[in-house]
Amino acid sequence: MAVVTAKRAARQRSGERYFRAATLVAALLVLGLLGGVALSLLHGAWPALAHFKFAFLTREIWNPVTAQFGALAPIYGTLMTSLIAMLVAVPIGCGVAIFLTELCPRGLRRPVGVAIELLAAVPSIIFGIWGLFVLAPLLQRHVQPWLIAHLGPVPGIGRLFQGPPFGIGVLSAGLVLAIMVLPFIAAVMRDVFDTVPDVLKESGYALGATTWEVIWNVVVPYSRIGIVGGIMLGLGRALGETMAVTFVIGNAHRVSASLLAPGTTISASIANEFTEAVGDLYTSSLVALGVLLFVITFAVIAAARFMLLRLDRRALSGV
Amino acid sequence: MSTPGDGIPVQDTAFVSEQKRRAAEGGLNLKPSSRMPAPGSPEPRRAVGAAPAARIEDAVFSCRDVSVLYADKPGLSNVSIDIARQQVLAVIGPSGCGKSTFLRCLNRMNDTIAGARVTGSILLEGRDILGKEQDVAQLRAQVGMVFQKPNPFPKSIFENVAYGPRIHGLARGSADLDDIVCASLRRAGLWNEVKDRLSRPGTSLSGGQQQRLCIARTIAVQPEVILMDEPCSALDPVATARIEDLIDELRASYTIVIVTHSMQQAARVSQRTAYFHLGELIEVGETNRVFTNPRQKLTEDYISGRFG
Repeated sequence: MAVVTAKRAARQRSGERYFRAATLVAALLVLGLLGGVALSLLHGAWPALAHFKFAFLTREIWNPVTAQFGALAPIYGTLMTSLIAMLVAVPIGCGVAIFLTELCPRGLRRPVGVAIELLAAVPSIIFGIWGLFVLAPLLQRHVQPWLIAHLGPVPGIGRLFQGPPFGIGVLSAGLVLAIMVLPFIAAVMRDVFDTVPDVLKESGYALGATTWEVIWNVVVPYSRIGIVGGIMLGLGRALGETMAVTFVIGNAHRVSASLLAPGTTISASIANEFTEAVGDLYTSSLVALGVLLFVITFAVIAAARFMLLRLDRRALSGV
Repeated sequence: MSTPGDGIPVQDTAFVSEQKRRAAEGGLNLKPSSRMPAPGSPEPRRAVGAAPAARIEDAVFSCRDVSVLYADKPGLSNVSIDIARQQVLAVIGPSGCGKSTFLRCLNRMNDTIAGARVTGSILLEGRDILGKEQDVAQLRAQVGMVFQKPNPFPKSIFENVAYGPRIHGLARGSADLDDIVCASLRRAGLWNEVKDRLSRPGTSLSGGQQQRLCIARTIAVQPEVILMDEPCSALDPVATARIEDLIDELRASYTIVIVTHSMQQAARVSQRTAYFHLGELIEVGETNRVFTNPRQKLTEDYISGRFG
């Protein structure tokens, strides 16, 4: 007698149908949640957006007493801290990834790789207190006076390094963010560099290229899209990071030319002020900040996904 | 390394006396092979086994007792062979016989494999290339390599060819570089097909064209020797025929060593053929002679299709 009887086959088919339905519901639930979050954010932000209109994006004022709110300072702070973080973390992360994939002795490869992944697992609150109690005083006493004395008088970029050394401020927040996103960037880039086919590297070496020339002329061009994808993922995390930034940025709704001055970011503002927000317009303005962050982060992640997708497709089509 | 034949210009026939000498030495060189029993090929047949060092006058490469260990697993055992100037040497043998390993010794590509260790001596124009003081980048400019799968860089056709001259500083100015690229593509028989689209990516070409681009890229550095590791195994018969014609033309200016799994190809393109088996050189000689009158039982079995 056949092991698979008609009855048994029918039962298997119906089981498959239920399983498919269950996974479909799970997938739709995620989409539904995303839509729900977006909708409720927009709904909550509507009073503020309707009241201030476009000026919400361009005004620096943030005055709960007179109920005047503008998002310029948090937007500026968010973009500026993320920019600093990227400027510091991308070259270092790239270097770490190149070292791990091309230069590292085999025995060291795993320990260093694991250390980087562990760094990514450190909770952000730890980075926050470390930033406030260790990094900020260090910067205040040793680094910032030097920056003010030497870079302050330089025309042009000098404006970025003026004023008193507070320790906490946009620069400190950017540096803490850099340390936090570094492991992400390094890990993604390491994976991307690993996708470069050995035959391609070998053909570089076979032409008499040095290791440096192979990295710069073969590995980097081949993986450039993936590199951008990795940077974008790091950027997405930097834009949304709340806790560590709140500790070290100083939380002042100001747009200052100097990187040493305190500032604020979108997520830091929301975290700091939500509990004390009285009045509908105040609360609504904070939610509107959330909408802005949602849009910025969503755009960055979407761009990163798109670029990684293109990389995958190219890898599949074969080079 | 002081064998009786050293320095004396003897042709392939030297291997007979070489065998006698080895037999007299008590088969010292047979040791590695006894550790590697041949599946499917009866061991007793190769009683005189180990390969003779076929010496050639004015050789480009002169390899003596070259052995390769991959993480203590032998890849090549005591290979001694000379490679003649402006000839094609075909290296044949069953999979895993060490023919690619041997090829990769000649431009030290084994350096890029972690755990690979090469011993013995390889003289290129009388200079030992295995020494620490050998600049591998310079060696590889002198000994170019074409790989099994066409692997153009993710750059334009022009940049693919210009890359080598650029990193070695061979061109004086951009006009000179244009000339080098043009000449290399012409020599590789690709110029007429790509002259109107030099800025297109190298990967936009067909497989056969890509392989000729890789040959052009290798020629552009003006090497002395070109190593080819099964250059046609990923190509269709028409593209293969074009590459074979090209190899025949290039022979006038370059010494070529080609690893191939196709005995027909070896017979068509080469003047000399070396047969490898389980990491050892079994026989080397003029292609005609090796194919019509092999002196070793193993070679005969392989070329008559008994295994491989």
